Amino acid sequence: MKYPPIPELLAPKPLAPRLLTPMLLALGLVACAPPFDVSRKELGPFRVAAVGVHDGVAHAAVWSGQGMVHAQSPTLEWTLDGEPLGEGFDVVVPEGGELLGLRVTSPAGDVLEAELTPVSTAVDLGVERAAVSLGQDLSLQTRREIEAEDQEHASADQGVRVTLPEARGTLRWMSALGAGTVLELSETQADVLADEVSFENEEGAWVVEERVAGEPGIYHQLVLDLDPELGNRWTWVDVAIGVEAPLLASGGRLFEVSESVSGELAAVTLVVEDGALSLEDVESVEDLTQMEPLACGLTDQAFDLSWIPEGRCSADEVNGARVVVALR
Amino acid sequence: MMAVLLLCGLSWAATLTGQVREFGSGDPLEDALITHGETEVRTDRKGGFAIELPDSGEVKLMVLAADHDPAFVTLEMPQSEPLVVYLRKGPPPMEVVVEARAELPHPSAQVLDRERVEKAPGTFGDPVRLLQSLPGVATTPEYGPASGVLAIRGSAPEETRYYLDGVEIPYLFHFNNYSSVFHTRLLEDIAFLPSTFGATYGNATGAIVEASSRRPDPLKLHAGVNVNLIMAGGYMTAPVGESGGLSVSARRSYQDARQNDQFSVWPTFYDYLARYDQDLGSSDHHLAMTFFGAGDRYARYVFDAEEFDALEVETSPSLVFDRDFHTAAIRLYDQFGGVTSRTSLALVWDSWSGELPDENQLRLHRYAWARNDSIWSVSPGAQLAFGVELKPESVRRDATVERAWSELRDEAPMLARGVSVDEELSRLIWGAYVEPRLRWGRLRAQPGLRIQGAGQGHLGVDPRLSLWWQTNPNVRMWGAAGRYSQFPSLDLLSPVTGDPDLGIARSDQAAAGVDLAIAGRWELGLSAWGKDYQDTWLQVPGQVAEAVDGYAYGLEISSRYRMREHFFAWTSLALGRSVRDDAPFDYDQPWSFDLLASWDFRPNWNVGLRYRYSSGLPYTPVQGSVYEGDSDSYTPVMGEVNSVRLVNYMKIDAHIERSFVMRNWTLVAYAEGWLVPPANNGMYVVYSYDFSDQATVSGPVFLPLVGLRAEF
Repeated sequence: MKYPPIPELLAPKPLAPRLLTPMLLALGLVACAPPFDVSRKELGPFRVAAVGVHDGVAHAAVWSGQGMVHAQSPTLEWTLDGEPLGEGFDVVVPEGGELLGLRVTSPAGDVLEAELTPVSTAVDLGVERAAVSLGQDLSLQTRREIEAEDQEHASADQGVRVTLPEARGTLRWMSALGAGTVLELSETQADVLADEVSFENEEGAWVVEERVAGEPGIYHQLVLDLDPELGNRWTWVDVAIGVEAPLLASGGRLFEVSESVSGELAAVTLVVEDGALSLEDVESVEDLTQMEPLACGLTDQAFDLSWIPEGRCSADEVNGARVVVALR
Repeated sequence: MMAVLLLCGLSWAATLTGQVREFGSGDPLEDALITHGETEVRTDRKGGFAIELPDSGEVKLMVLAADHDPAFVTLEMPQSEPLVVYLRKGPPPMEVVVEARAELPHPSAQVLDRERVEKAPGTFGDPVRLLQSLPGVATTPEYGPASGVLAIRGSAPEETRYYLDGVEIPYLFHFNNYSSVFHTRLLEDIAFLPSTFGATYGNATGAIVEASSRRPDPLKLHAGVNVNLIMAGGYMTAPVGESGGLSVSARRSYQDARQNDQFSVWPTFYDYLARYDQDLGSSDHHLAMTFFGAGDRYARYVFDAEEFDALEVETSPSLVFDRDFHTAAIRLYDQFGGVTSRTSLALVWDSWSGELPDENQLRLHRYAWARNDSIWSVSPGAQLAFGVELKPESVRRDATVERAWSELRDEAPMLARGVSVDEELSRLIWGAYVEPRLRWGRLRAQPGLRIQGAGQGHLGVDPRLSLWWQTNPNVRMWGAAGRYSQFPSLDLLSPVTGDPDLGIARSDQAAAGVDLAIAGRWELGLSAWGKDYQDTWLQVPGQVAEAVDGYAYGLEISSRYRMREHFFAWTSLALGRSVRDDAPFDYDQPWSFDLLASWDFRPNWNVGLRYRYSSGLPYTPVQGSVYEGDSDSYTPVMGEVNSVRLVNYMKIDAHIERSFVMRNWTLVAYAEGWLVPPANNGMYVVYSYDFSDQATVSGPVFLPLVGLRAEF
């Protein structure tokens, strides 16, 4: 049986109040605490969302707390076994280290600390999407009996079934800004809905407590694969629900564009307005010649659109820049 | 003031036979007096009598028994059937037993008898829970993580020893401290020694709690059942032969047919007790064989399932907790000339398992128990108490674990430790004591010496002294001091998860006080105490215990007022501090106030009220956290140890009961309720997933309980 190592590492909760529950339920009473504003399943406040070593280079996904862009990039300071290693988003990690440390400072001065056993990985996570029609019964058993469709994007009354076929460890799904609802289906799959759904547990069964219809649009998830052997891998998984416009897909991300493009590369102009990124002047290209050098980016490869929500490239740096992105 | 008379026909004989019984229980009344003119007879131990009367005409009898209303019986002789007379229990004399005058074996001891505390509110009918209201016992929020624990005079719960009928038992309360592990209808009393106890007891730097079961009634069958919303149980005692008696009891909770978001198997618990008593030739030699045990079992999701979706629940590990203990004990009571002796022999089996899908722990603690306590009455003013104690024990520890499950520190400490282990540890604990009990007029002195040892070269030499000075019949002053030592548990000494070099913990203690009795119904007590701890153990979950020093001190003021058996009120104020390793101890409680009152306001009606108000327990705040990339989790960065406190705790309990007294049995219907004002209702602190936010978990504000009890 496979189970998450520690889903959220809550403060070790004493058992006793929980044990009171059965007795008090009989009397209609339960112990209670006010709910927290933040959830591990939502990308809310400033946060280290993921950290890992990819091809011998330390990487981190830092969530700005403000949306899918960072007004200014955070500062990253890395250590290995307590010794300074370097700063930034591309720090080479020598082999043999036991504990990789990270200190993240936001532009506002907030500090986050993280640590990791450095396991270098090179395997990308694939992303597969398929529209799925879910009824009112959102139970695990019912959803498992529903087949997804061939269509990649969903209509307004559908959800999207996301599969990460290369995932090997435990997946953590994090919704940007808490928009939509993610319902895990298996160790590598989840159904993403635009609706805001809350559940309550009734004698062991999860039943829908409230379901508020969501708006058509693109919903963003960061999915982290925790694998002690392969190391941490993550990817952004955007899903389109009820979107009529053509879509550009790049590295798990989706953007509404004015017209469809095909091929392997596309040149786009990055535009940041009101804290949101959009792509303009999209055209299919054959190479990286239209790539504008950016201080935050690597010039010898296509621009990775996940660098923006992860803090590597700030809104100021990319706004108006012409870059080449890989399609798919 | 009523008597009930049953006439059962006419007789031609001049000798009238019959029986005198108590109304409501049917118990035979021994030594009741039956008079007719100059003729007087008394009932035997079975309540029976035979009296010579005129063989015809009307006769008048008077029937008297201590603590009962008299009965006046008019008969037409002759009678053909035996006469049965029922006497109602009457009001007790104005003068009641005052504890300040009682001869207690240790100056700081308090004894709770079952009858006295049965109607106390806030106990759910469980006298053991009333211990938590005694001065010096830290008040802990109901159903909080420390609910019901007995942290006494600044000590840790594990520094206190619990005994039933002279045998040390593994634990005192069922899960969540809902009830003690004894059927309280078979308890006789509970002795509570909060500190500075005599040489009789050892291997404890905290306190002693000793419960005694009731000797079966050798004359009459008794039985009872008790049902409430949580559990049901019953008991029975019956005479066996001429000089034997048998008691049995069993209880079980019965809510395990349900499911909820946190439990995959609902909690169940049970306990049982069977006791057989037999005189051996004469009443000077008596044997009691006891079998008792208890168990608790449940399965729950390790993590907070309320935050899970359906898949997470399906794939999340569930801990199956299963703990039970069973004890077989023999106790011999002997009287040899001027020596009274009490010998206990027992075997105890305590199994504690915790199972996750791929990891598990089993802790099997087995020990034998042999103890003798003797008192030699050398002269009217001198006794010599002496005794020995042997406890060979072994602990089988088996854990297969891949990581530290710190979430399970209370339920599965070996899983929480995160280290696989496969070992069996054993040792012999022994002890011997001598305690002269001397009296010179109004002065009593009990110097004592206890020597005890265990494997690993642990040796404790503990001198102790208790003094009483009864300045007059209503004023008693007392003082006590001594050294107390305790051996580390075998778990702490494990070469794999503990420290085999851990030494013996010691505590030097002193206490002094004065007890006043006023007008035979009001008692006032004042006591001050202090403790100095050396090399006591402090264990952070997941780490090896370390030896630290500490100290504790306090002042206790108590008042007990009693008006016959109709009304009593206890009030106490406890002030104190407890420090370990230069930080407030987990159970440091600077002040605590308790008020308890019970009133029989009408015949067969009783109401009770308990009010508790105390300072909140300390806890260590979280200052920040570190993101653990390997597990996508957070490790808290802790602040100064126990530097902040929960809110002050207040709880009000009310109890009402109505008795329906039949001729041979009694039905009691009772209701209890508690109120914890929201502003004073904090059980513990929880944190958001990343420790950036915190909230205090509150317990239920109002909780009712109703139940029925029937017995004869």
